[in-house]
Amino acid sequence: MANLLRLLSGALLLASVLSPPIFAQSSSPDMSVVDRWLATNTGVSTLRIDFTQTRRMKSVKVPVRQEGTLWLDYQNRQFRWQLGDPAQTIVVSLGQNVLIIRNPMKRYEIRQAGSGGTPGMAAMANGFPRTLQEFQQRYRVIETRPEANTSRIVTRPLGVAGRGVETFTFVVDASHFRLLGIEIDLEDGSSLDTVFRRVEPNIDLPKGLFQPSVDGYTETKF
Amino acid sequence: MTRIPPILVITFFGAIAAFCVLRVHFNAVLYEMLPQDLPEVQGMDRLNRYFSRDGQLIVTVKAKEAFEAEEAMNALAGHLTGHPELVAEVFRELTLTELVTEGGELLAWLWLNAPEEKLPPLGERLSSAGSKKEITAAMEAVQGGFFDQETVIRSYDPLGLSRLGGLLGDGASGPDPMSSGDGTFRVMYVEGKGVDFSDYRDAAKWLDQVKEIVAAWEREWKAGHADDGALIVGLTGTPAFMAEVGARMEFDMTLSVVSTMLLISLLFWWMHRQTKPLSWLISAMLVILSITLTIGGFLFGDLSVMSAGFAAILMGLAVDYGIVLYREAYDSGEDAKGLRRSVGPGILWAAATTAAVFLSLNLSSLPGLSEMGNLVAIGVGIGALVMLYGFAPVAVSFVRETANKPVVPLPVVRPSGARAALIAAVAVPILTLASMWLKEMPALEVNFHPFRIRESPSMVAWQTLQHELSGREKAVPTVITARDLGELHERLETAGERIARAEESGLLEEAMLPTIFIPDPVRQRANAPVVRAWLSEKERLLREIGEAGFSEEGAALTATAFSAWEHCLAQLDTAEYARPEGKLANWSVDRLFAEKDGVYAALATVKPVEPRDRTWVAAICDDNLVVASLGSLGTALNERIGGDLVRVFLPMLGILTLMLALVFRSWRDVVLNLFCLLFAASILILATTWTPMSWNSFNVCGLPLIFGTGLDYGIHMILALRRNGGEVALARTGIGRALLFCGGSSAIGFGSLALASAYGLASLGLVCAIGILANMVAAVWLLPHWYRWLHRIRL
Repeated sequence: MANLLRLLSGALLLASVLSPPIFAQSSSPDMSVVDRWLATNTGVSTLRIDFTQTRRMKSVKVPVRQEGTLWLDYQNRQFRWQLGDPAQTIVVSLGQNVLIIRNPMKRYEIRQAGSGGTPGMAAMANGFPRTLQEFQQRYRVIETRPEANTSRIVTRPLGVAGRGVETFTFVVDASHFRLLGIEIDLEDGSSLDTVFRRVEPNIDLPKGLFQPSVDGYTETKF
Repeated sequence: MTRIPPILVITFFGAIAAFCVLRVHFNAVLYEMLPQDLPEVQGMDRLNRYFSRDGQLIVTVKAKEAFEAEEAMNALAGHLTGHPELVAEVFRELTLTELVTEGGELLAWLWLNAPEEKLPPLGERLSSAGSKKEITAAMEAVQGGFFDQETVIRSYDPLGLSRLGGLLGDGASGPDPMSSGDGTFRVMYVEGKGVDFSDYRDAAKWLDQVKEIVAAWEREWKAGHADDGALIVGLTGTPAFMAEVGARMEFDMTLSVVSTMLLISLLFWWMHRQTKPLSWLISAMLVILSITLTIGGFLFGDLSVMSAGFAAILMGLAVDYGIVLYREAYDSGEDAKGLRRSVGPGILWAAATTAAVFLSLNLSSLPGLSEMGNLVAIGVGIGALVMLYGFAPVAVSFVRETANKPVVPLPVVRPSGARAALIAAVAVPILTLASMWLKEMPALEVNFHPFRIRESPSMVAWQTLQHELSGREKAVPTVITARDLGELHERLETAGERIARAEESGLLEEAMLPTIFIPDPVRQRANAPVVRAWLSEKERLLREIGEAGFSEEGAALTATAFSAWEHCLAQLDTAEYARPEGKLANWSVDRLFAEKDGVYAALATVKPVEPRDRTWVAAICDDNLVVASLGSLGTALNERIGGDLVRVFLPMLGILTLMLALVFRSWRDVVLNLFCLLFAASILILATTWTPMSWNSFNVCGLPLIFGTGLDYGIHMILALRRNGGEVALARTGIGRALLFCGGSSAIGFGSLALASAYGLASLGLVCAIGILANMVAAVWLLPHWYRWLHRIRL
């Protein structure tokens, strides 16, 4: 479909009535909440996050809720993302590619990182920004929205990561400004909400975490 | 008549000329001025004939960020569709939702049109044994797979209809044609309406209105998005090119004619210090221009971009006849009849000779230059007659009117030193040889782009588009034609074999053949029973998709595909072949397949390794496969013009030498005259070596004109020197002054083209102006001394 998309995207017909610009331009967003959240990331070299993910796909009747874990190694720019316990799907960085393993099917795929756009995962897999400069290179803040116990930093990812993404929202704790989760809204109306259940910074990462074995697995294209 | 105020005279004839200029219609199709037998030119012709849409404007948006570009493009598209009097439709990159709702029709048609052996894998996925497994796997991927675009697409296509199994071929994995890789550059197609887009003046009016709408939108957008980065909107495509080229040609002709008139007037004033005869001389030139334009329009129809330059050249040449008549009337005091008797034959012969030189441009391979040469040739003929029968009586009456007034002293052509002339004779050729040896040998510009137009926003927007959509800079549209669909498919197969060989030989990087997008009646009929069998499973499959947990949106693509198959099979009952249903599908197929005037055409794309090299063109092209390659066109033109020079120019030079021998019957004078040509050629080589000027396939065609005038000036001066025994001062006062004016006015005519929009025309004008000035300087200032030296005449 990716090929067809490329070939045909030149031929795509626009509906006669187009939706108005997505965002009403408000006054400059309050960046203090961003600063305070980023400050919590200072000095983090490794990270383990246990999360609960809810996928609301427009094409699927019922939302899917799954638990998973993300490990990040900032120094070596590596990640491992997995869903389910025991893991159903494992994704690890492999240089310029990502290795996707589906345990129930005993199959794996090596896919170019960012191919076809990896809106949600790419942002997480690259780790979270630790300075305002790094943050502004990757996101543009649309608004910061204070709520009861949280603050929402609503952004648009810049560059390739922004394609197909309507909004990318960081949810931070209103008192300690730690990241509590991420909400991604896609252009087709689908969304992906990730709530962090447990965050452990600067932990020792087990050896072989980023090199899962694919022995006995068949390479495929999912 | 001589009492009419000059301003009224010029205004009257100027209005007539302006009317004639406005009536002229220019041909904005630039490739028509190129050799029509080149595969590159044929490629452009066929691309334009079968796949270009006169009213399709391409709008580009460049923003700092991808989402800014997307938002801006959406908003601009909405703004444009709000003007239904100008815009019929707008096409831009679809969102994923739009793609899955529109894409089913195209996918269905592609499967129906596919080779029979490609269908079984899909048949397996749709079978009662395979469908549940397929749908379950899709749901698993959607629920637990890596959440990326592939997964999102899978969620809309649980049966894998979009997994075409290599149907699109390798070349289909090219870059996105509607967006740059980072998404900051977006493309949109705007289908215009309301005017006849084949007329560039109508297209220009339409474009002006669209530009106003876009400019108003830009102001509004920027006011509301002050925090965003800079937003650049570009307009390109056929209507933009046509409007721009047409308007520039009209402007070029007006500018060059007006500037030539002004400069010639100044030259006349400097030499004669009279205004009234000048006003009538200008009027005569305007009459010549008006008549020539009318005849040219009648004979040639639309004039090409090169022909826009003829008017200025004609002005520079025709004015000479008026000057000769005026001076003769002044000196002899004859009436008009007497003038025609005395100088008429000379003027007519001069006109015939000049016309012959310009007609020799027909021997060039460039139709654009031939047309310009023909127009100038017609013009000088008309010029001679208008001056002899229109201006001569006026000149006589002016001379009589001013008979009792004191004579204004005419400017004197001051002699140059004999030593300086001899030094120049040695130094210039030596300097030229040294420059050629040390810097560069004269050669045709490799990168010459015959269509380059100065200050062309639409060309800039087009080049930006090619640059931004990475990989498109080297992609060459390739058109394959046939008389019926069966033949077209055969030719596509043959083309595929040739292209594959070229890829193996390292001539091509890659290619994309549109075979699957070309309707194939045989395959469609062969596949119809299989598709009919799939259709009978429609309800079951849609039910299974729903039962697996996919929503109505998730099943939409599959449902649309089944409806499209029903439609296609119904078409096959009544038509030769089925066309896809739906706007997206039709638009996609129309981009790659056309049926017009009994010809079927397919549009392929190839990427040559070395676009300028012509080996790949020879390897893949034949009568039915041509390439619209701008890269190799420059090389092709250089090859062709290089051939022209050897084939036409060298024999011409031989004949002229023979003629010189007959005229002079003296080897010294023949050598002298040829040395003058060598001197002018040296000056031109020095100019092209040490300045940004360069030789190209257009300006090199000016060489016959330059050498023609060089011979002419040389003959006049040598004969004058013979008559007065080598008396330099005497020769300069008489013929020298005449040559000064003739050379000056011709150089002004050609030189005014240096500002022309078309680089080819501008470079031709510049080279000819420098060459003619060099001829004039050599003939007036240097030749007399060389003559005395060669004939060993001492003071």
